Amino acid sequence: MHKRSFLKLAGATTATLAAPAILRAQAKRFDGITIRTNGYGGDYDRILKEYVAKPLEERTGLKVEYQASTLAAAIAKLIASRDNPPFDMLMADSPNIPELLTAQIIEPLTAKEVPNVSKLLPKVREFGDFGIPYLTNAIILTYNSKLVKQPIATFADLGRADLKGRVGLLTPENTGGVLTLIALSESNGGSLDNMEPAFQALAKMRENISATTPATVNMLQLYEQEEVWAGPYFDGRVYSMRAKGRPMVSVIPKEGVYALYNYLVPVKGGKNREAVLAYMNQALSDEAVGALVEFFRYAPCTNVPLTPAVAKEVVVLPARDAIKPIDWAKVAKIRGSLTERFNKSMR
Amino acid sequence: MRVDPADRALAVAGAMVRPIVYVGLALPAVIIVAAAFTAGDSLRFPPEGFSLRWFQAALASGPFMGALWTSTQLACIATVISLALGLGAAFAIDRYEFRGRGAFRTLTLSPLVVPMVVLGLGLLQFLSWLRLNQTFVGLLAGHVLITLPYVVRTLSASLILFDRNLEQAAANLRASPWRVLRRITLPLLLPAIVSATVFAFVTSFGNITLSVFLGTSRSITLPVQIFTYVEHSYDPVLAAVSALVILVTLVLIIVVEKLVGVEKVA
Amino acid sequence: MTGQAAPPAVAVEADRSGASVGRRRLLLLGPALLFLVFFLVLPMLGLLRTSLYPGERSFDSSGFSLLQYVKFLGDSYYLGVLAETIGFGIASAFVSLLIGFPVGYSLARLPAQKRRWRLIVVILPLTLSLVVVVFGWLVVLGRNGMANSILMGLGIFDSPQRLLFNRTAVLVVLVQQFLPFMILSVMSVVTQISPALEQAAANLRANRFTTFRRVVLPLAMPGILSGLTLVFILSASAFITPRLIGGSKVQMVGSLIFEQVMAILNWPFGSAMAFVLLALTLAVTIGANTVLAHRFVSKGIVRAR
Repeated sequence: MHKRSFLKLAGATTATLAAPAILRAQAKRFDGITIRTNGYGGDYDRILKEYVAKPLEERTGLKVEYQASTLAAAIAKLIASRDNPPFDMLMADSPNIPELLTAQIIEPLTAKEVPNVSKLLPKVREFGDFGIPYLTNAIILTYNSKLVKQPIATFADLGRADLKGRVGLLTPENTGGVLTLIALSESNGGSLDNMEPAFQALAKMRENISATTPATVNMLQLYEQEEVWAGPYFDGRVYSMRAKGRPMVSVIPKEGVYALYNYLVPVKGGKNREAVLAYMNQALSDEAVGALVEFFRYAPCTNVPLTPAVAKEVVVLPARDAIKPIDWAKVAKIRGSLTERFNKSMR
Repeated sequence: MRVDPADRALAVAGAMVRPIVYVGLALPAVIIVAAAFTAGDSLRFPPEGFSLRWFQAALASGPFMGALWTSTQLACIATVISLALGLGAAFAIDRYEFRGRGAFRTLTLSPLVVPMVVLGLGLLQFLSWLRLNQTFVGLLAGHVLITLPYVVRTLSASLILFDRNLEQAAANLRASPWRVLRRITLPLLLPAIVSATVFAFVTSFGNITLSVFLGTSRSITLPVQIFTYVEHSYDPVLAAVSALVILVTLVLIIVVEKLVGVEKVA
Repeated sequence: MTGQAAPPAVAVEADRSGASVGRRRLLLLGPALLFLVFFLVLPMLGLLRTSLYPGERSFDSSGFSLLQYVKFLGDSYYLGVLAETIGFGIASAFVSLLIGFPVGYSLARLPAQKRRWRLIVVILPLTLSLVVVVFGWLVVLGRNGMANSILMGLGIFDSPQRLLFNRTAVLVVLVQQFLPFMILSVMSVVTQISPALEQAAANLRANRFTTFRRVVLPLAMPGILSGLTLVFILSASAFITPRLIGGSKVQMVGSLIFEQVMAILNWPFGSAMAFVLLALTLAVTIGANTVLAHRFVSKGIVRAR
């Protein structure tokens, strides 16, 4: 605290002394402008503030206000107050975009408005001109190598006898749970139009499923407490456990990788669209995406160069071309019935 | 006096149940506080090593400290407003016969019956329609709404058993109604008022759901800050923040006791 | 004694002119009434309207339909979850009463010095964020947790037991979460029961149990009822606890509502579920209040309402 107030004082003094000079210099492009966005909280926001908001503020005077809340609450807030949106920009995931489109809450944007769009890899813009994806969250398989002696390679392996009562699943309330169900369905001959194979697969491994939770971090707790030994989980989360010394192994499932992207979208009716576009451009820059990838080891959506040390732990990188495309609009339609069916079958 | 077997049984049962209850209530807090002192990187019990680094991290954290301040402010203001509204309501319910008294009583208690998520959604929709959805006033209204029932029910329960003879006696001694209120009624109600204050403050302070819906970026409350932190990260800072909250609460309770008088805390 | 004092006081009120009484009454309940109508009734009416939409979304919707209610009440799965939720509420209320009453009673009778720290322990859980508390319980009830260590150490079990993700675990956490409310309710009301009454009963050679049954219990009834209904309602509406401690095996309506409202964004269905839960909890509350209060009113112990 002391340091901070001292720096503030020093800064203020310098500013006052330099005032005439600043007046002569050109006013910064977004001086006095603040854009509002939601936030994910914790380290995610910290990195965004450091590598996106701060450089932007230094260059253009733009201020960014992060309103941390759960994504669901942010979307609920947005939908409830459409004519007076609480955000100028939204951070959302692939499954949410169709919903936002139907509610006509978001606006399209082109490569002209956000130059760094050219850095995006092919196939990541799932919704045409709507939304800018920047990070990939994939569902992979993981197991605790200390407790599970035989490696796991497929979703079907989760039904093995030695894993009785040791498997953890994310519920469809969680986007990871949705990805899991899609994976189970398609790997057993089903599709989004016919999810029955997924539930049949679940029924087969029912004995093994000890814990289901809608909260990603709750699952983390369960792995750490060794309550759960194996299951489908987010690639970045598995890495975070490994980084803390846990013997968790990341496995690319033989059936394929199912993933979603983290998006930035401008909100319709939000203020300061130009500033929002500048933010998005900065968010796609190498320094920002690079920082996110380095911390979380989620795969980037841009062609940002990665050091070998970092790239090694971004496990889905080699399989990136094999990421299966998903019709999220269809998923949004069936999500309700999926959740209901899941709840009923797990009871 | 003869020692009755039923008495003995009751005493033994009481002596067994009470400590178990206290331990059960204190256990999570003890675990969290202990975990906050860990020198390691993850939340574990027993903690690895001993260090104050996470407390330093918590105190240095602008978001957490700001949220702590916001929560305290909000809880204080909401409690005061609740007490004012609730005292009047409880008196009216207890002392006056009027049509719709039962309905009014139910109304004052009904915010409790509505699931928090629903309350949040309903208020959000309604406040957005009024353009109040991004304001402190909106958030405050929500908090008063959920604390009011506690105030009314606590005061009502106490008023039912209130011995009116005391007020009668004072009135007979020619004290004005205002004097009776000030010197007899309110002091005798003090335990219930303090109890109601505690309920209200704690409810407001700990509320997650409503604050998520109605909160603004300038007024993020501590539980929301913790809740959203946990969505993405998970480290002992949470334990340190919780330990700090416990400390603040302890200090507050002791201060209240000193002000109100230790015997009066009920 | 208290009951007999009532009629004269009421008579005094009735003597004053009707207008002044009316005005004072209005002043007392006016603000609260206005506040509640504006910030509770109106928003709930808005939500009720939402529950009558036939579609799966509330924006850009129109029409009136009972479809959502039919969907909920016509499905045995949902009815099962509803019944279980009410069950949890009742169980939680009575368990808290059973273990909370002794604590509340002893707190009320303790001298202030001894009371202080015990009271702090009681209020402590309320200050913790629920998320953090759940971690605490995972540590205690987990496979490698304290409870299992103790059970195995005592030789009761040979291997760690599954203590989490079942109904018992959810009940335990619910009780621990809301127990302080019961204790405080009981304590608040017992402090108003003069110890002289119990002493008098003892002098008449009643043992403690009889004193409890014939003197303390009836007098403490308002506080007990207050605590019971409070814990019942809070438990029945809970959603964070069943979500995190219950897994998918233990489902409560609160978590289903949360799911619909937050993840699936089907607000019409979510609000319909909410109103059904609301109606049921209100019914149980009013029913309990009327029945129990009536029993004691008829005995002339508590003032008639």
